[in-house]
Amino acid sequence: MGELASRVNREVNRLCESGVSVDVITISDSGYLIEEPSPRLRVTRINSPVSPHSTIITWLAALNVEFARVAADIYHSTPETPILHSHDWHFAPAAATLKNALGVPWALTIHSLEVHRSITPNSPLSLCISTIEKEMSRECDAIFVASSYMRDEVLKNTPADPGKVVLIPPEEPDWSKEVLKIYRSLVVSR
Amino acid sequence: MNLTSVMLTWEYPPRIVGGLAAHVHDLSKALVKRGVDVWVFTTDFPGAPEQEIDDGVRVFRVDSYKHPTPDFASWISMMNVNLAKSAAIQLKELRDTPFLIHAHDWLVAHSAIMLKHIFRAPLVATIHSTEYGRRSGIHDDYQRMIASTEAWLAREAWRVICCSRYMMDEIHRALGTPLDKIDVIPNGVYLERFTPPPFPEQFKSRFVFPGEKLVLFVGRLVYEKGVHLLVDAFPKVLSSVNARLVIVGEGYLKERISRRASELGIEHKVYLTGFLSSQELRWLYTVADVLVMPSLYEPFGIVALEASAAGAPIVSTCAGGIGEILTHMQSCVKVFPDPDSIAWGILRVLTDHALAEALRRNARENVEKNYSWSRISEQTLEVYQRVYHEYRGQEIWRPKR
Repeated sequence: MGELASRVNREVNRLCESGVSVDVITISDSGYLIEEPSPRLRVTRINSPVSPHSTIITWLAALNVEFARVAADIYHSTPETPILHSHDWHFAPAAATLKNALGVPWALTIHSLEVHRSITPNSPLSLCISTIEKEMSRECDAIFVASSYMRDEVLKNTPADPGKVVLIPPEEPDWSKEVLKIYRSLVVSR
Repeated sequence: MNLTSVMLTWEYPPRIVGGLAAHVHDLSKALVKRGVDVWVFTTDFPGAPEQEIDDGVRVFRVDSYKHPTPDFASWISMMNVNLAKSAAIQLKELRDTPFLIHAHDWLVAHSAIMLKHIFRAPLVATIHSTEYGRRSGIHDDYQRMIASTEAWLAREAWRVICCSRYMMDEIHRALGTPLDKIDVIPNGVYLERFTPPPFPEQFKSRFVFPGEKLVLFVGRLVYEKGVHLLVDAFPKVLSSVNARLVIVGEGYLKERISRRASELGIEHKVYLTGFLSSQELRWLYTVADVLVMPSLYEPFGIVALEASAAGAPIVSTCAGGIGEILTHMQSCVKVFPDPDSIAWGILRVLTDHALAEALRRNARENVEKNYSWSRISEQTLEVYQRVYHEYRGQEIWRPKR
């Protein structure tokens, strides 16, 4: 749909190359599907159990339940505790509940905020998304941003604790090392 | 086994929107009396505490308005997000004790299903009515979305509970739920609550003039309750008996009913009370000369139970579940959903004192025997025990310890 897919794809591959096993949970347009494109990568594509939908909120709410179902299955079927890493607001509701219920560490990458994307930031829909963004920024354990501009925007528009906002530009050669350092610190502090 | 039932409901007293609040409230208390720990997660209400213990029931009220939303369905979605998160925080306490999740209607489907999978706990769903039944079919995408949510909840539930055989059939047809997955447990009533007011005649005079018979309707003023048919029937009743129609409830038909009464020239004989308190309503049942249920769609018919408990003679259509509660000329006079037939039934009760007395007596006995909350909670507990037994008997779907 936008830049997010290719960015997450690049990051996932870099993590796999660093020896991390990654489960990606994402949206499918054509039914539930599991793919294993490389030894350390499994992609589970989910679709909404409810159809049709009145707004993007109702669509994503149902998808969040599916997201939680698949994530919980991964949690319950693996001996170690996984780290949850979500991107932007779309699956933040499920991530927050998983964190609260299971004690899973939650890292979040904020690529952009509703205030930047929306042409009607004061509409009920945009305000709803902005509220989700504020909550996720407060609740997650670490926030990754790709630029100092985004770091400033996150701190300006959300109640995120400045201490947990980490700037790691994607072009950084040691990107994976830096991310893994944060992951480890989240597991230790859990 | 000390089982905990985690009830999810979008309404619980003092927040009362429809019949769900009273049902979950009474069922929860009756289950507590049977030794079940009951935790209710519900939406907030001005002045109601965030957490309380209500007759042994632990109630958690969740902030449901913190997200601005563009429409009701989106509000429901976000309410579920908040319900699931708040419940998740509390349910960690239960991780080493047996518990199941009990969802009431599609309005809490998202949170119930999410919690089920996160905690790997069995889910029981009570489906009180379906979108298909409420709207006499599925006519647009909005309804399709709700029906799809109902089907999803039924699919995810270990067992589905409904209140009548009529509803069992409807859930099977409308949602595709296998019949062998559905348990019928009727709604209940506390008989002891239905006592007359201290001064019955004085209380009755708030609603009717001396010499007038009190013809009572209780329910939401919506098409499926058939209140418009009752108003159309009333001139015929007035041609034989001096009576007043007392309509209790609110709904989108209120203006239309008021206008129709004026068109028929009977506006002075129709009293729209709006909402009454539970106590006033129970007293009103006890002083009514006849209670009329002209329903076109009625998953169960709790009003029939309440009127029976209070000893009000009943005139009713056979819509939905009512036919399973009441028997013609024993506990009610059954009529067709048609003004002439409804008028006939009302006049039959108002003009035959012996029949009215027999209806009162039989209806109360019926409720006493089959619809006490003690009986209903026993049946619900049996479903819980069956579900938990089956859940424990399998090895695949268990939470990580």
